Order: sequence, then structure tokens, then C-alpha cells
Amino acid sequence: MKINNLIQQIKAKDWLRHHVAYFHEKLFSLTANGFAETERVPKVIIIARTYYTESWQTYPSISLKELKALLKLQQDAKQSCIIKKNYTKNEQQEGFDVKTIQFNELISANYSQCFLIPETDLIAQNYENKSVALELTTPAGALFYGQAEGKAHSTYKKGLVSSLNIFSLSVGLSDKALRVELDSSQYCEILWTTLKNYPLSKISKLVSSDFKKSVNTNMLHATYWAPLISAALFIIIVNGYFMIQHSMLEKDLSENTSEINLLLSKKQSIDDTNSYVTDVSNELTSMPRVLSNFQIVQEAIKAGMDIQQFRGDSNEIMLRGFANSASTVLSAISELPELSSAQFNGPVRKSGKRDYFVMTLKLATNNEK
Amino acid sequence: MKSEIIKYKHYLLLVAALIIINFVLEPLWQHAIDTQNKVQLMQKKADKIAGLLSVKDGVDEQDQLMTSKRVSLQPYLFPASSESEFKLLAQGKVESVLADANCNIDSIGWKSRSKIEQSLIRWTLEARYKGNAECALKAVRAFEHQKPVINIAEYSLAGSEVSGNKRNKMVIQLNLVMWQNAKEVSL
Repeated sequence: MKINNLIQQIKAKDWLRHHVAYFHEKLFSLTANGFAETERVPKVIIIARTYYTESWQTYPSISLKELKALLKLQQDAKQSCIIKKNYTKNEQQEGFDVKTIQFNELISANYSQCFLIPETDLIAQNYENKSVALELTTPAGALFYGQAEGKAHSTYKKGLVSSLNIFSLSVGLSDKALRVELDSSQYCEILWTTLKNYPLSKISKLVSSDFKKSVNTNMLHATYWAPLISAALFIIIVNGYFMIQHSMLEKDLSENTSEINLLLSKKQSIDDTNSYVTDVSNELTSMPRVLSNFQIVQEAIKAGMDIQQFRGDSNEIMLRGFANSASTVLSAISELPELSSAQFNGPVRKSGKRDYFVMTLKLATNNEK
Repeated sequence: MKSEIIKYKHYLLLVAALIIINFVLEPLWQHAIDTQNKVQLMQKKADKIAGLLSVKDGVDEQDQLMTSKRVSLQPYLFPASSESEFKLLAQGKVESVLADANCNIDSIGWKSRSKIEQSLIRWTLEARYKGNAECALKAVRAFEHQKPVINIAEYSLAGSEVSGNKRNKMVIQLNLVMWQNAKEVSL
């Protein structure tokens, strides 16, 4: 809720009241009940009509670029007073109408650091392009204000200009122009409302100030130099921290280098030796002993076989020879647990009364046994 | 000159700030990031080294164990740094075994060579000889109990009668496999 209230207050721009005042001899703050005297010098001051002069000048047959150059020259020539120039295009003259507001020396000297708003400009913003004739009760006295066809006239009630009708006649306002009379509090409220609702993007057209005095250039530079210096300090500290860490780690690593190299070479040597030992062991055990195969041959001889050739390797044995009965030899051999299979290799031939044959015996693996 | 500098001091301040950002702060920041990456890598390296140093005793023990295993395998291999040295040693051993078994050597020839590892070479030798049953058995038994190891890859015994009879003469052919330890030198 508090945040909501705060947001509403910011939106309502009530905070702006503390930064705005009206000046005539003294400063007056714009309160809800009207003008109230104040001692504080705010940043934005609405200046009473009596403290500035207004003049209009037409510059025919001139381009905008030339006009700007001309106005800049005029501005540079009058350094002592604060001057505000607004221009509007004049189609008939193919040039520009320039409205010049020159604040007097009192304002220029005392409030040069503030943003100054001529009160008649603020009133003009309130009524925009309407034809109006106003009688306003200001702290400086009754002020007549009239505007029609883009031009405004204003004067205080004195001498011959004693009523709004006379003022209207004197400035050439038509009878159809809206006539309004505002008392002090109403006028105060209108000033405040107009300023509050004035778009911020167009504020430069309304406000005049001595830029050099109202803006502290050192502060302006500080807005980016301060973060820059902070960032520089941070980066230097970060660099220093990492560099210290880097040098410490480098020192640690260099101290252990020789020991680590020795350890790594040992580890490499262990890996190499392990691989070597595994290879040698696998090689040496890759071929089973063959002497036990002679026992199988012995069994064949016992079964009545006359062997002519006996050859083999780690997996199988080949026997070639004679026997009275090849089948008897095969059946006797087949029962041996050392063999996984025994079979004739080719046909069994008769040679006289005897059988001539070749047998292939597959040796059993350890699992098969 | 001085008045010119004062005239443009605000621009100079702004340009100085931009120059400092572009040519000092930005490179310094990059340097900081690079150093940070280096530090991280070095930290990882340091952690690994610390881990390695903590298992130093284990590595030493393992090294000793592996060395002893390697040494224990040496008697099973022919120590010869060169091919000629190995062949002389191995062939001499085969001939002495066959002579001890009273076998008559017909021929001995090297068949193949294959490199198993940097210092381990497998050799195959074909021995052809004549002899009776006693020669055959004695030779096979002697080969299979040899140190360095001589394995019989293939064998063939042929004759008019291959039996236990001592008078029977046979032609015997053995393919023998031996391993050379090329790192060692025979004493």
C-alpha cells in the first residue's frame, strides 16, 4: 500500500510544489490555498510580468539556419541579462516571428542559477490558441492578459488601462474573445496546474536559464567520471588480486616441479611395466603344453593302432596308421576326457586284412574337462 | 595554447574519459579475465599435483611391485639386445637339448618374427631331426621345461612305426616358439 501511495504521489507530481515558486519582490510558493510566502529558493521560479520585457520582431525572407545564427550572435552580445527567444514561422513574410523576453538585472543577477518561467508564457500555455482577455490578481497587482492570433499582450492595471474592456480595446481584441477574471487563489491554481501538466519534452521552450550558472559542469562531469574512477579502482584491485594468486600458484607449482616430474615418470614407468608384464604373461601362457598329448597316442597304441604319423598343435591331434579295427580304436580314444571329439578324417580303407585310416582328435579345453 | 585548452576543457574531459575506457580499462579488464582463467587452470593443476603427491607412497609401492614382477619374468625370456645375439643363444639351446636327447638334427631354421612390444619379440623356429621314441619324448619334455621358455606350437612325428619301441626311427619336426627380451643383454 505504501508503495502504491508513493507511486500515486510521484504521478500526481505533488513533490514538484516544493521546487516551484512565484517571484514578486519575495518568493511565494504555490499552495493549494493560493500564494504563500517562502524563504527557500526553489529550482523553478515563475517570474512576475513586471520583471521582464516582451518584444516581437519579424525577420522576413530568412532561413531557419540563418535565423539561428543571428539569434546566437544577439545572445552572445547581451551576456549580462538572461534572454529567452522563441520563434514561429511567418508564412506571409516567408520568415519568422521572434518573441524576445529579457529578464531585468535583478532577476538575472539573483536567480541565474534557477530555471525561470515568464508568467505570461505559462498563461499562454493554459489557453493555447484561444482568443481570451484575462484579468488576473497576481501578488504584483491586477494583470491584464490578452491573446489572439498567436500574439499575446499583457499589462498591469494602472493609469488609463483601468479595466479589462479598455485593455481589450487597446490591444485590439474582438468582443467575441473570452473574458475571464481570476482571483489570487484561482490564478495560483491555474499556474500550478498548467506547469504540472506541461509536457517535459517541450520544457525548453518554456524555461529560460543561464545554463553555465544553473548547471554545475563539474557535477555533470562527475556523473561519468565517478563511475569511471570506481570501475578503474575495481579493475585494478581485481587485476592485483588475480596477479597475486597467479604468482603464488606459480611459485607453488615450480617448487613441486622436480618431484612431480619424478612421480609422473614413475607413473609412466608403472604403466609401461604393467603393460609389458601383461603382454609377456599372455604370451607365455598362450600355448598349452603338448607332452600330455603323447599319453593320448599311447592309448591309441594300446587300442591296437600302428601309427605312421602323429602330428598336432595346441588344439588338435592327427593320427595316421593301421589297425585291425579302426572303429575299436576310435571308440577307445573317444572315451578319453582329454578329448572333446574324435573322428575319422576321410574314408577308412582296407589294406589286406587291416584298416588304414586317419583320425582327427579335438583337444578339450579346461572348461570342457 | 592554455586558453585553447581552457576553452575546450569539457570536450577534453569527455574525450579523456573515453580514451581511458577504451585504451586502459577495457584492456585491463580483459587482462583480469585472462588472468582469472589462468589462475583457475593453475588451481586445477595444483589440486591434481596435491592429489598426486598424496598418493606418492602408493606409487612407490606399485613401482617396486611392478619392477619385481618384471624381474621375475626375465628368466623366461631370452636376454638378447640384437637379433644375431638372440639367434645364437636360442639356436644353441635347441641344439643342446636335441643333442642331450640323442637326436640327429637334420635342419634348424628360423620361420617368423613378430614384435609384441617395444622390447618383446616372438620368434618361431623349425627343428627337423631324426630319432627314436626316447629321443622324441626326452626332447619334448626338455623343451617344455626349459628356462627361458621354449614352447612347442606344432609337432609332427612320422615313421614306419611310431610307437614306444626304442628301435623305431622317426622323423620329427617341431615348430618352437621363443621370446626375446630386446632390452636386456645376455651375460
